Amino acid sequence: MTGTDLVVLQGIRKDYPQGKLTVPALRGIDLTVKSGEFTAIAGPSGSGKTTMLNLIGCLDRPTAGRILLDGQELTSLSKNQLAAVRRQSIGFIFQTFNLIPVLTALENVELALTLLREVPAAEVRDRAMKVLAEVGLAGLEGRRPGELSGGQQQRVAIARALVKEPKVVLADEPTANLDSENGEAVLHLMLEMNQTKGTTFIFSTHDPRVMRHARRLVTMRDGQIVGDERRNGQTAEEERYHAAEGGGADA
Amino acid sequence: MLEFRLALRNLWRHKRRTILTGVVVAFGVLLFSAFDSLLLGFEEDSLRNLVQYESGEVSVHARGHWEKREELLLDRTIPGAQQLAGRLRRLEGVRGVTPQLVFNAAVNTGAEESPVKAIGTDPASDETVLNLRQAVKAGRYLRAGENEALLGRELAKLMDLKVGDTFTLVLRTQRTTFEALDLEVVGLLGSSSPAVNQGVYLPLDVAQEATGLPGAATQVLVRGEHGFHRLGGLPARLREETQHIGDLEVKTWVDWSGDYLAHAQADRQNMKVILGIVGVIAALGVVNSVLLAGMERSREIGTLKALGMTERQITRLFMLEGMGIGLFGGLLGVILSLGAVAYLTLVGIDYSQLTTEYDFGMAVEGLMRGVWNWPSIFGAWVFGAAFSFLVSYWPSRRSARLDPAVVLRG
Repeated sequence: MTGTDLVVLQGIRKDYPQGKLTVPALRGIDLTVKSGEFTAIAGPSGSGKTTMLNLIGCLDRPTAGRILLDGQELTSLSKNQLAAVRRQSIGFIFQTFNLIPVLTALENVELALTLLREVPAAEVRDRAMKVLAEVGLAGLEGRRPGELSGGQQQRVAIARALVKEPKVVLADEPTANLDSENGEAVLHLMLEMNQTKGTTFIFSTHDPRVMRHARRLVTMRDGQIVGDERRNGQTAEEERYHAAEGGGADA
Repeated sequence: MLEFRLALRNLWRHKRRTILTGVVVAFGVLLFSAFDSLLLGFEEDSLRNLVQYESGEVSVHARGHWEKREELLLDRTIPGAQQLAGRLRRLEGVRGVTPQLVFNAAVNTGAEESPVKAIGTDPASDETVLNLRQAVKAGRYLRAGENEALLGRELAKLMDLKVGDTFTLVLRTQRTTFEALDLEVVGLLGSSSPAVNQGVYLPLDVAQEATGLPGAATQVLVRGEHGFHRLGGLPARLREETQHIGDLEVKTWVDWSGDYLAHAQADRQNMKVILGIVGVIAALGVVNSVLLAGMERSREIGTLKALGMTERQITRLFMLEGMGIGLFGGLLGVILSLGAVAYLTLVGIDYSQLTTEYDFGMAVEGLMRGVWNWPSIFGAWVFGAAFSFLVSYWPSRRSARLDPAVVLRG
């Protein structure tokens, strides 16, 4: 199922200035994610999970180190070039769904394709409808985010992330705002998309129930990777995570 | 297309803010349209009054008289003015010709005396050029050869004279000797022209005799067939005709209107200042709205960036929202302007109370009416939208430059 090196992080450091101080969020990260992997980044608040996803997602730049996406060096790209990478190669799923409130579910999904400017207009609607049906939202295409439940909104977000068939989908705590039932359903959906479409997923979590689904679990603490395990089902890593949980501010 | 749709829906989503800011823009458009309508109307009335009561459309003068016409001297006149008038009447494109003798005088009632501008006018022909007959508000019009006068209403009020009263017109003849002429007030003139309301009119032949200038005139006024805005080749034909007659010069109403046009120009400058202030207020409203929208929707901006929108696209999106406010406000302004300008053209603003106390130096008094100026009204709409679009640049750019990593974490 997994293949070539898709995401490569080499010696990544990220410092945030706070007044006269510099707070290190990432302290030398080396990580390689292969295409088709379903990877969870676990760790307590402040461990650097979100920072790392932001760097992979071209939303932020590292203080030091190199990031490669499908062989392309990201750290030297301009703002517009980074926007193009996000547009073409990366899908995002956010904790708070972040759908555009004035657009319907269908339009939110179409938005990702429209921005690509590569898909003919006639095809945009068909593809968006198809993906919405795949995430179980057939019949709800015309509803605005405010008319959908949290679980349904996150499904729209997943559809939006997947519709352009990105190289990687980055999900920051995708189930944190959902009840356990909806959270479970969303994870199953992501896993299904990973297995049927071969989409690479990297998601952050500190929820053990979510970690259980990961095929690879990368554990972080204090801006460093302290564990990296490819597996099926629950492992002792989760117990270690529990022990580590409880310190620091969110990074 | 996508940005238009997003901008439109966001404006609709924040209806109250859109409406409130739009009203500010609408107020600007309304103010501009109303002022423009009034000023144009004022200018048009001024010029019409000038042409219909004072200058005619084209005038012929003895050379040298024009420059000193305000002094109302009789040292440069046109001899044989009636013959000249008859000759000019036969020219192509001439509708009417009338000679006038304008001079300094004083109205003396025995109790009071006031300096005036006296106009000797030809009752037989002045109707073909001027509108004096329509200005008679009491009594009747002049008859040739009679020692009688028409008084402007303001002058009559000042001198406490009524129809049927008599007064003495004290004047200097061409030889600068004083002459006293007893005249009966046969009518009172009232018009929107201050010159008429403050003047004294007597039959041309009586004036010629009294001043010792039989058959002479200080000016021969001409009216064309197509209105004063379309003189065409009339002045040139008159110049050609008069160059063989004597030492004459031809002037048009445009030459006469120098002072009025200067006033109009000054008024336009004043209007620009007022509109500048309104523009700044409207700009602040639009900037505030777009800034607020950017702050409120920072997470949305982060999402759009995550989806791959460039800063330029996001800037354009928010600028379109600014322009949308301008378009909506401008449309509202146009609708309000239609009502306001309709009122100004049909009813007008009566300021007669003011003009009795102050002289604005304009050839209009009493009622100020607007005129329709469609390019100006719709131009204000387009300008409002373009202006809103441009002033939105800074807040839009500011929003577009938000750091997505920061706002998404927010």
